[in-house]
Amino acid sequence: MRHLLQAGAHRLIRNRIFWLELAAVIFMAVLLCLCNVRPHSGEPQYLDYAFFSMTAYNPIFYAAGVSLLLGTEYSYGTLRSKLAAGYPRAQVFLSQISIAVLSTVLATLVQYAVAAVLGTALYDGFKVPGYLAGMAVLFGLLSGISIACICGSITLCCQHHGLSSALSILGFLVLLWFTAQISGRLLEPETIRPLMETAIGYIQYGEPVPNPDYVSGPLRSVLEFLNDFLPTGPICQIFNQDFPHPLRCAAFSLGFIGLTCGLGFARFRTLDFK
Amino acid sequence: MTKLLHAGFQRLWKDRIFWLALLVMTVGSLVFSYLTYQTSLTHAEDTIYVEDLLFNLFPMIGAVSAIFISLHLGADYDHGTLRNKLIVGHTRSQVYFSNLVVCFTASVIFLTGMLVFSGGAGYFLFQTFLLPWDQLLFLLLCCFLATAAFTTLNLALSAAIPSRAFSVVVSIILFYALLMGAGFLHSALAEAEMTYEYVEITMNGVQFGDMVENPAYVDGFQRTLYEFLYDLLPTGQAVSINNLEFDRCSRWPILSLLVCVVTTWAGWRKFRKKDIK
Repeated sequence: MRHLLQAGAHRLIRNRIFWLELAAVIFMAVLLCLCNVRPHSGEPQYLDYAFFSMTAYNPIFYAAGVSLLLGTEYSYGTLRSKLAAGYPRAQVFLSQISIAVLSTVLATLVQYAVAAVLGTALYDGFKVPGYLAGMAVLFGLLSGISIACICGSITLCCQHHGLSSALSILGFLVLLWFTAQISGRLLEPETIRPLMETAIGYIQYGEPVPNPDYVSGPLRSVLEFLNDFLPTGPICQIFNQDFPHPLRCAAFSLGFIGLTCGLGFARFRTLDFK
Repeated sequence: MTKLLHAGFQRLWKDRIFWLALLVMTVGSLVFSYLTYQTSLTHAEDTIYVEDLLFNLFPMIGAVSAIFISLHLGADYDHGTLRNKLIVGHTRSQVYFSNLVVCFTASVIFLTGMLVFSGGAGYFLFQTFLLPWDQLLFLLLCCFLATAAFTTLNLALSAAIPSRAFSVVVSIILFYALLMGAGFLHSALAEAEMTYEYVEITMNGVQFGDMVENPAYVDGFQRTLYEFLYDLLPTGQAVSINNLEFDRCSRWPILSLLVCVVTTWAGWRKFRKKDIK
């Protein structure tokens, strides 16, 4: 296992895909920091939006990086060679997933480091409390690891390199869209106060009325579960700067990582390598 | 050329990715139509038109064609079919343009599937059209031309990148980047010229300050440039059509054709000099 990990890490630092992934996340971090600053507005500038939105935009690069990085194991025949050299499938699978996780964790840390450096220079810090920014980094890392595990498992179980890349990236985008819809529905208030009376420069609220978009009952519980369980759920929560169940979300993320790796390995163990 | 086209279409009808992509577009249209219908039930005060559903999945045509073209063409590289076509005497131009015709046909089929299913669902559920027939036909023409722009762009990329997986990733990320770029331009252009100096939300209501110039408002040359770029990007046109915003639609066909010509020329030039292994 140690040899496999060593070889994997050695290959990772020489891999152009990994450096391209890093370049992409750095570019996005710089772009988001620069695009959201308004130096001449005369108001204090906060890093919040740039920092939190980065977590939503960058995981597509993790998905692409992992699928391209691990996909070559099939196309170059490296996977078969490792098995022929006597390594058990469990070790090969775990080492590959570990390398995928390592690449993603490095990319995530680099993106936050760039944002921290640029943010210190361009912005007046965070508007939200410091613990919320810390939680954003923690959940960003957790969701990054979940994405690495999903994409790694897909790539290791699908011998068709192009298809596994498409499935990984599309899977991530579909999950992101799905959890964004769920988050939007969960953020709807229970009642709304329509704007009723208009005076010069003043609009008054009317009586509160039930919000038709508010989700209640068992459906709300299901949506809350999905929002915490799916790896893109924390991404949407970070983007909305709202963590209703942080501990449950962290526990579910770890559970999701275990489940994905378990399912991936169950399939990988029975694969017929050509 | 006829033989290449014949072979290309034969392969297209047998391609599982093609049928899967068509299924995604048609089923996706029905699902989105149903979701819109559900929303309309809870918001009875909003009027929903057939056009709201007709173009609901149009921006996705870029992603679907990106995946289909990169996988379909990537197989030509992977299986050595491209080299064989050249060895038997077909010119590179013939190979490139036959692929263009096949991929464009596939993209048009995806678009037609989407339009038929979402339009059918829209007419069945709401029956009211927002636009007159001539404008609707013009918009359909714009949709076909924007689809052609997506196709030529993705074909140029896939023809230039021999690795199938890398071509898939680059195509999807490019689509994503173009969509993000269009979103950025849209939000910059949507900024109002004047804004309230302050907006104070209290328990009883909202207090507005005096109207002042919005510092985020884009004007002058920068606005002209942003508008041009937004209309030039196929994703910009797709988002505009999806949002039913037709302010500058008269120039969309010309700009789509411009994208088609430039990307086809660039892709063909790159492909002509490519060392095919």
